[in-house]
Amino acid sequence: MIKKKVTIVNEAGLHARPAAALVKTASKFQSDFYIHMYGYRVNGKSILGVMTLAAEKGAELELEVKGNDEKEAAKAITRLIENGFDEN
Amino acid sequence: MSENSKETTPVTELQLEGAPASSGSAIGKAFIYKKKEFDIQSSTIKRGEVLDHINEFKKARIDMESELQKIQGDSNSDEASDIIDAQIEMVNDPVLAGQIEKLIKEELYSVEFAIQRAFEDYIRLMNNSDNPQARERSIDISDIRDRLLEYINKESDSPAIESGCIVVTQDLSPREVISLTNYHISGIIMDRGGVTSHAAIIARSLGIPAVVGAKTATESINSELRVAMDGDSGKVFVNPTDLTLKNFKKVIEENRKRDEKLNEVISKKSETSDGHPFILRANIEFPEELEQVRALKASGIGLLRTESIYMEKEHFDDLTKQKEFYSTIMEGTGSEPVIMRLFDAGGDKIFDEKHKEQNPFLGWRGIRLLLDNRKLLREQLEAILTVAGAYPGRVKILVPMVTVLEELTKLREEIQSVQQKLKSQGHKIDEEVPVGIMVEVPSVALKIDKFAEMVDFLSIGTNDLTQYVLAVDRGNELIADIYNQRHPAVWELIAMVANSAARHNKQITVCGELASDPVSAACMLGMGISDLSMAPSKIARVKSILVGKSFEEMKALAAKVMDCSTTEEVNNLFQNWSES
Repeated sequence: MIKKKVTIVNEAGLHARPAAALVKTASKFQSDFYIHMYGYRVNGKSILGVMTLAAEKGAELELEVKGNDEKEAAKAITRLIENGFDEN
Repeated sequence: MSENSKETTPVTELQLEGAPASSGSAIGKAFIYKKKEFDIQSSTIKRGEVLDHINEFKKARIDMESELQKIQGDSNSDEASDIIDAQIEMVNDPVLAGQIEKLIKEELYSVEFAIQRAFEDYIRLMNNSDNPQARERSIDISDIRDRLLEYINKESDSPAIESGCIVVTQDLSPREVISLTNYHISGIIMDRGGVTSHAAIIARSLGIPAVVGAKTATESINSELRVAMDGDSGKVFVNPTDLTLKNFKKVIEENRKRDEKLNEVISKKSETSDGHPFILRANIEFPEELEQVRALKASGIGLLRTESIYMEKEHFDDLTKQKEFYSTIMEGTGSEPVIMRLFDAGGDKIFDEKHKEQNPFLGWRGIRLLLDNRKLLREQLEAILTVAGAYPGRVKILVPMVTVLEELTKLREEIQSVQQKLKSQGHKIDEEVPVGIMVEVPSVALKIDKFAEMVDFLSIGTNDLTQYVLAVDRGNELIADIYNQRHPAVWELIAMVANSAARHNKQITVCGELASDPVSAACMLGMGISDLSMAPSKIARVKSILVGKSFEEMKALAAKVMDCSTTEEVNNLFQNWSES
């Protein structure tokens, strides 16, 4: 299992479009993917779950990835978030 | 008839009472119309139905996804495409799907109830968020829920409604009322709703007798039972006795004769008995009403309400839809003018569910809301002005809820800039699109000269004007007896506005309900307002009074109403006048 902390950097935060991008990326991998934030834990392959986090710019998330392709998955997800979902 | 065959239970007449929402009486078999939206009644199912309900959910998901993909294919904006992308993800959310299927399987919830239940938590979480944007976004989520439910209900969408029946239901949307008319129903009884509710307005405009706010109608009436209803008193009789039926038949026959007479009036020239011309136009909201407008030979549309297209709009890419809507109206009205009122949300028509106010009628509504939502305003102006360019000289813009002059200045600037934009894009534009205001706030009526100088026309909205000048919430039943559009203070303001319009040589119309009250219409004519707009179903009745009296009599009436001190005096005056 990989655990990793990342920070939301794009201005608008984790709204519908980035949430969709995140879920899409995560769903390409077999590994389970969960996000922890302020004591919440949501399934990172569920856009509704991700949206309810209402993560704003600067919010810190802990990613939890577990499965055969966890390394690749964690890398892809982290890159997406750290690049601000290519929004700005 | 099969009714004289054996009856197993003794039939007793049951009487219900609601508010009279649309004039006319009817006798018919009851048809209980179940709300197909999200008003979920039966929440649990039998074990044997589980698979059906799960399959229904799966099918709704697939249907919705393929429709979204189709829309995405047609869309040429990246932003819209992204939003649809997110919507597709939501529809296919694996966690959500798992929850819904589990609720059906384990809790034996119906598919509708399970969807409702599963979304509830997400919506609540979003609403409780500290992040204001998240609260806004909860609308996107509830929108997905509602549309899924719509797909679920599509199957059972065409109920077997027999013509001539009386539809008994909890509540109806305006569109449902319109679609019901295709079945030639003879009446509507609703548990909920008030006389000014949207469904009631549409029922009136289509001339279908309706009783609303009957509270227990759907509980006390079963399908197939015989019902007699009176849309003028609000009385409903279930299993009516022979005597009741006899009385009703008499009234229905009288109404039929009256309608026949009114139909003769329609082809008459619009002028008073001494040759003074007047103009009657229609207030409408939906293209489905145009046929009636044509049948009544109305002089175009004096008030086109535009809220419905917004209430139903997608959150994006709706400019095309808007233009289509306006074009349909223009196409359906020959060469007559159409007065388009800008989006009049707020008040009783909630624009943003997250935004609740203590005094919505005194709050963020009409032009106030539009000036704060420039994107919305510009989009609407772009749609209207594009269509205006295609039908030059026929479109007029009406601004709702104007209170101060600055609002008008700002709006004029927006209109200018949109016109410029259209022109630079090579669109044909109507340089002279007239802009008018609703006179519904007392401050405007009191300073009407200042406003009249700045506008091309004035339109008095008596519904709101009355509630503001009398300080009576028109939806509050406790004080409904004070709310009366015939109040002398309302007449005072109408006269002031009429005089000012004459001094400034500006077109003036009345589009409030008072214009559809025949004697009041005559009184307005007497005050110099010869251009009136009303619900289509009222046109013939108003016309029959106006053609039967002389302009001189109307002027005398208008002079007398200014001396009245109470609504009762006005009522007596009008009563005597119409009988003389």
